[in-house]
Amino acid sequence: MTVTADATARYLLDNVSRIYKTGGGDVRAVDGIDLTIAPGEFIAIEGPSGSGKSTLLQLIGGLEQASSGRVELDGQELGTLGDSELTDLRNQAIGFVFQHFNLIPTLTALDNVSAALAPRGVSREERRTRSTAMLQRMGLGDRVDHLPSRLSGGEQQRVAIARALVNRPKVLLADEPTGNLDSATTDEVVEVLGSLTEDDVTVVLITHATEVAERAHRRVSLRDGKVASDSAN
Amino acid sequence: MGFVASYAGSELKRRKGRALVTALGLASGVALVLSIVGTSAGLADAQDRALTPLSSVGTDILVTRGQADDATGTATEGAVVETGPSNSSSTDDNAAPRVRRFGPGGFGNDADEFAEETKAVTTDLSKLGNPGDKFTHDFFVASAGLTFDEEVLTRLAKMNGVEDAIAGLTMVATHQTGTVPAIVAEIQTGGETVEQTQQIAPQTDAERAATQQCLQDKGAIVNSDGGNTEIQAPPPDANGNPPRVGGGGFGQLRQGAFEECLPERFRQQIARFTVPQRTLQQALNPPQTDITSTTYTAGGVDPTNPDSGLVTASQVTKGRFIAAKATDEILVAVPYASEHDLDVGSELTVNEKTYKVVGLVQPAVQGSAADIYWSLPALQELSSRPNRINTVLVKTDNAADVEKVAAAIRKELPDAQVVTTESLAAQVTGSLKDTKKLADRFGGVLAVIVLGAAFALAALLTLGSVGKRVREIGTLRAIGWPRRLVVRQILVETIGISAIGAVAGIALGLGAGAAIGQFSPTLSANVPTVNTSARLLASVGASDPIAAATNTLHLTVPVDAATIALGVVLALLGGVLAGSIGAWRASRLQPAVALRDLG
Repeated sequence: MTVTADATARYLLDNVSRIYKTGGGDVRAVDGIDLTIAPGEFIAIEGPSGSGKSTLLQLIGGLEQASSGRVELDGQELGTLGDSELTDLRNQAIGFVFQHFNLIPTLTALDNVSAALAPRGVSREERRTRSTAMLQRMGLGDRVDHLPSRLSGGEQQRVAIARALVNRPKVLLADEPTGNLDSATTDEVVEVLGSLTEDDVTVVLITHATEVAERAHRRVSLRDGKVASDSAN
Repeated sequence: MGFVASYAGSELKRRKGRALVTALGLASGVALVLSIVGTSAGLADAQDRALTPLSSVGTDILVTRGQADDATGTATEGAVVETGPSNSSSTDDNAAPRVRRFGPGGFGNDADEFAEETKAVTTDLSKLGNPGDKFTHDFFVASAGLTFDEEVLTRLAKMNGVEDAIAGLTMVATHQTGTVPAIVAEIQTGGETVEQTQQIAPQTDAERAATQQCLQDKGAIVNSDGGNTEIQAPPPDANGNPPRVGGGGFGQLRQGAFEECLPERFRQQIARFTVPQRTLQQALNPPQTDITSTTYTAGGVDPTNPDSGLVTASQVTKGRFIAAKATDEILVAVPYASEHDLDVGSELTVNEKTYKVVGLVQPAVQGSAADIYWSLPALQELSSRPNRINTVLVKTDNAADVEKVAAAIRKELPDAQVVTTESLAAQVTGSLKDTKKLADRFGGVLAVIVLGAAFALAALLTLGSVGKRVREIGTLRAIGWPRRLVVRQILVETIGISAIGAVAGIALGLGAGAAIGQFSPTLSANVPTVNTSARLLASVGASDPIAAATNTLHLTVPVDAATIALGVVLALLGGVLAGSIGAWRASRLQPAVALRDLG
């Protein structure tokens, strides 16, 4: 199947495959996926372990290049970009949220958020202002000077979300963002992610948790690197 | 402050342990290297102090006129006398045993010169006053016996490769006080008439023939028959008068004619002379108990050349150098001044002339040290050696030409001893030399090994740190940190650590240096010294131009700005090296690792 160009699509994946060469032969982690994701869409990607969820996220996040096929973000084909262009793209257009939060343990909440602004050459003052505002939006106005070790899991993840959003990205990619959170905190985080769509931010969320997937606009299920189902909630 | 610096500060602050281990590793390396460098510099310093007596007088070559090597009379005419240290293994021409050949007249000339040089020295105390008078007198003798005429200076100054030639005169002075001895003998000699009788050998055949011929010429008739000779008077003349030939046994010969015909040695055989009459006065067995003698060494320097000479302006520790034209100013060596209670402003009377101490000097450990320095003209006058010098300090145009110039001087002045700084240094033995050799040979290697180990440790720790921060660095790459920013981050962190290492290393190095200085290990150096060291000559009476003296030196570890800068540079270099390796590793991390479950 060939996906036709959609001028309104945020993401366009056309027959995308990612093959890893191993001693036991080629492993097709992602195998011929076609997908279109619209701006402001909140999409949950489900599937069992090894189904290709994380690989798909890396491909659309510009962390990996597809072995074949085409990945476009706002009409820009990622396969044609070099390392520095992909780096710029990740910094300016994509926000990442990780299962283990991936905060820098030696930096305060404020500095963790500011880290995303460092490559853009913004002034210290602006870094501080924007980061503080983002933390306040995440409900962490009183935690700006706390180290990650002094924050709860939910707070850490909200710091990570603040870091992902501080550059006002078009896309937020979240890999099991609630995997290490209790249910109450999971609700908080999903709530925050869902609210981003109001600003036309596309949220792609990988999850094992059905209750989380159910809160997305759309659910795509993967199996053996292929799309097994794609349905709206 | 940029984000990178702030981030690096947080890293160092919150990961103190790792930062400190890395910093201490670098610090240990830096401290050890500084200690090695400092010790090496200390050894070089000690060697300089001990080995380069000439450098302290601002010269390359020292030309001295010492007493002849065979002045003791042990060398025979035409002999080859080898001098120089037997333990010298250097291949340096100067360090090789010097050979001096004494041709015919060589010995005699030096002995005559020596007698001429010392004739001005007063040895007869009766000349210092009437018997019973108190006297104080300083006797001056050129330190090594012989001197040059000052014109040598001009000759040397004109030679190729010679930048400057400075004159010096070193004397051994004996300061005596006491009473002119009262025991003076008056001896009247001469006036006697001496008669001498000798047995004369018979005439030879030739003399006899000459005598006969002489007599015949005077008219005698000589008949020779075999071994007998008969002499007859000539016959009377026409008037019956006897011939006027002579008298004596022959009656008819003129009086004295026979003696006239005898050979010269017969006529002069009886000599008679009268010894001229004169009266001699001489002190006999002077009473030594009344006379006290002290010796000191005197140096004559050219005050118009304060930067070169037996002592230089740089060696003045208090006061000033002798003024250009002053003949009544002196410099006194610090040890002598302290021993004799002299200071700047003190006055010293020598042979009824008063001199003012204008400066105290700290001469070199060895070499041209004297106790009191006069201006050259003043010392020449004081010692009755006008226009005489015994040292010429030669500065060459080019350090590389020293040996060439020295060889030319040896040719120009065959009777002079010519010594170069290098030749002295090459003849040093002792623990200082051994330690210096060890430091030179292994110090550098040890420093490199130590530094290499410190750098490797820092690099490994940095790599370890990067290894532990894979997720962190992957995350930074994922959120859009370019490789160059990651590299900068790691570099700034390691440079920060190395700065701590530099401070700690310098502190440790200074501490080690101070400890070595406190412990102050002693080193000995058997240092050759040149004849200008009047003190040495006075004490050992050496005539060899190079004698050995053992110096005991305390090792110090000098730390100067350059050494500290070296410590900083080394530590930062270590930081940059380690940081570069770590940064290279970090920059190669793929951002996708941020998503992997690394446990």
